[in-house]
Amino acid sequence: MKGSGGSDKINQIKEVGKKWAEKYNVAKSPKYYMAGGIEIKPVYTPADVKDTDFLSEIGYPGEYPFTRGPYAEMYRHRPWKFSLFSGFGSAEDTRKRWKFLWETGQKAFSVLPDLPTHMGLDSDDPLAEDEVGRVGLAIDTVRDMEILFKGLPMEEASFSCNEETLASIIVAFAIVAMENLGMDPTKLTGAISNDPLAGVHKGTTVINLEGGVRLAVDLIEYSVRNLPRYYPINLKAIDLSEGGANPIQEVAYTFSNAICYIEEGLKRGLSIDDFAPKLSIFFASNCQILEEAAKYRAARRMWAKMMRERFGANSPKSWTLKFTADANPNNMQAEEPELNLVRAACGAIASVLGGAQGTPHPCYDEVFSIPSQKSHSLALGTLQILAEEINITRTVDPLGGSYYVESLTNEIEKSVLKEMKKIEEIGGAIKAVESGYVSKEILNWFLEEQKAVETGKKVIVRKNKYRVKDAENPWDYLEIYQQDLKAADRQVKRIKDVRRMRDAQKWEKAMRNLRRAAEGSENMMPFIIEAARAEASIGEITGVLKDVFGVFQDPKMT
Amino acid sequence: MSKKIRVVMSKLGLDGHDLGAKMVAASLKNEGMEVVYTGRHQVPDQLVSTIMQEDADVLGISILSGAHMGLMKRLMEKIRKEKIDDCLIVLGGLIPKSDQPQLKKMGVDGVFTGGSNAKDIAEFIRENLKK
Repeated sequence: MKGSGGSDKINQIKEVGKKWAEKYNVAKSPKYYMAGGIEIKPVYTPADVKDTDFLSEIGYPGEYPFTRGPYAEMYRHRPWKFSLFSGFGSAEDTRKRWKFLWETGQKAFSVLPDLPTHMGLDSDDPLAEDEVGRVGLAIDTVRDMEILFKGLPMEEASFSCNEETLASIIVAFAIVAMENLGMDPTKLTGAISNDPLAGVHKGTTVINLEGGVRLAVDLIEYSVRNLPRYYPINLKAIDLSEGGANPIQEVAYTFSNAICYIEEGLKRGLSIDDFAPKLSIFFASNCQILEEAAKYRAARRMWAKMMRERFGANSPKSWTLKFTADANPNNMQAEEPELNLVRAACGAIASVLGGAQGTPHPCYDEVFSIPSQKSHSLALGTLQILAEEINITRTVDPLGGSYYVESLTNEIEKSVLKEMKKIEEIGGAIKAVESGYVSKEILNWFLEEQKAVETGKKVIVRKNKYRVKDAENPWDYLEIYQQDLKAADRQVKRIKDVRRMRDAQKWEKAMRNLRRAAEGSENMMPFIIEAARAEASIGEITGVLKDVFGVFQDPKMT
Repeated sequence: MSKKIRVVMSKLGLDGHDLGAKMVAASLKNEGMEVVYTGRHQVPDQLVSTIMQEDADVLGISILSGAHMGLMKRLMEKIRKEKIDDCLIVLGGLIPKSDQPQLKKMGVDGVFTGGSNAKDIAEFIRENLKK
């Protein structure tokens, strides 16, 4: 590190290193690369980080540039937040699993909506047939949210939700449900995806991106003014990773998306320090522990510099990147799925060493189905072991100062900046996504990696190496979630009942006002809340948004 | 030289995870087939008109949401109604073994679950073409 020895010392280290490489014939050995193209050398020395200034580039945790963590002592005294997702069937089913996780030590509620809810379709929509409550929870109206929240401490516990385009509607339902249950909605805590630019990779971008970004920033602006404890955007880096992106692409495109939302917020007259502290990112951790930990260190430093230097933020709260990190579900394999417990644990170790604030955790059987209660318990228990038994949080950023990890942190930063520059040259995130550039880049990388799996260059245990002859077929012995068709019927009946029983005049007025707001330039959030109070459904509200903004079309892939 | 095999690759239903579909599409291209990818969120009517328009030899469908039984039932009904009997129907995704006999009965020619090898899919297609 800079200042840790004179240039004479560095030259001596290089000289000895050269002789060492010759002696052991290292130059002729095969080369290895981190996903995304950075070479991983056989050994690292002070010469690799000679230009890295300790105080300005690494420093102390809780201090600029936050390479080592957003807080001074991080998780030395108490664990980070466990936030396993669950959501299936109807609100009643999901509540039961939430209760189990709560009693087992997870003080947060995280919900995955079903596909119709992601796409803004009501449960009785013909397009939603077969999909209601299947891969998540069906949320049609404020009524479902009330059932979910009833009797739960929603003023204290955090409520997180995966919803990329229609987050504003989900939050409106949550606010009104709390009102109706006699709770104070300004105490709403938690986070929501609210990232239509990333949703493109998961297929959950519903309306045109211009409208989608406006809707997303409406929720951010509303939260700045009304929901002091809520994180209104948790940028979905993980959607890029699950869509095949490598770690460099994941960070670069997510930061480019963040810039897009930030610039839209600034255009509205928000000051950067009003809303930067409310932004967070939801990353995916691959099994490559050291590379991923370096990725998070680089991301935190870049975020701090971007906020301070590019956007002129003055508050340290604006400079600190806070993030959630889930072990990448793409790493989970179908062959001998119990081994996914190990892969997921490696991803989680990366998240912890990288300083994540929250960790969901994939279940070993989610390659096949909605996780059973047993597999949820194994996932939560894994995180609890990492937090309580193995002491990796006793000192902050234990990898700091490693020649390798510091060098990789620097290299990742450089590669990410290079890719971000390309997005700027295209004209920003919306254009880069709409033109198909981002999807193509990710697909090209993914296909390259697939080739490496096919040829055996990239090893996946039990899939392309160390295969077991006559291995048991997981389908034969795993407990596979069966969709409760009665729950789907119940859901369809409920939405029909709500439509029949609600105050038609109040509903009509709310929908008219919403349309006027969408056609104008006002913040739509108060109008969506008014619609939620009038028991409008997610399909009806989305219908207005689709009408006004147009339906999103996937970029053409040639 | 024999005519290239024409494949329509698709995502049926609301599930947007299309990495698998794109990967198989790329592999079949490498195997010398002509592949058209429909994009996501297709409904049965759309798919049937696409395979007619493209004069497809093969329709590949990927469904990861578990909604395959209902979606495939409606697609296969539509295919029968249009009297399309020379297009090979291949389904991929999270398809439990217990669902496979019924899918075959509906008229689905081949089912490939997660972890299947793209070369095996190509071989299956070549061996079972209907025209």
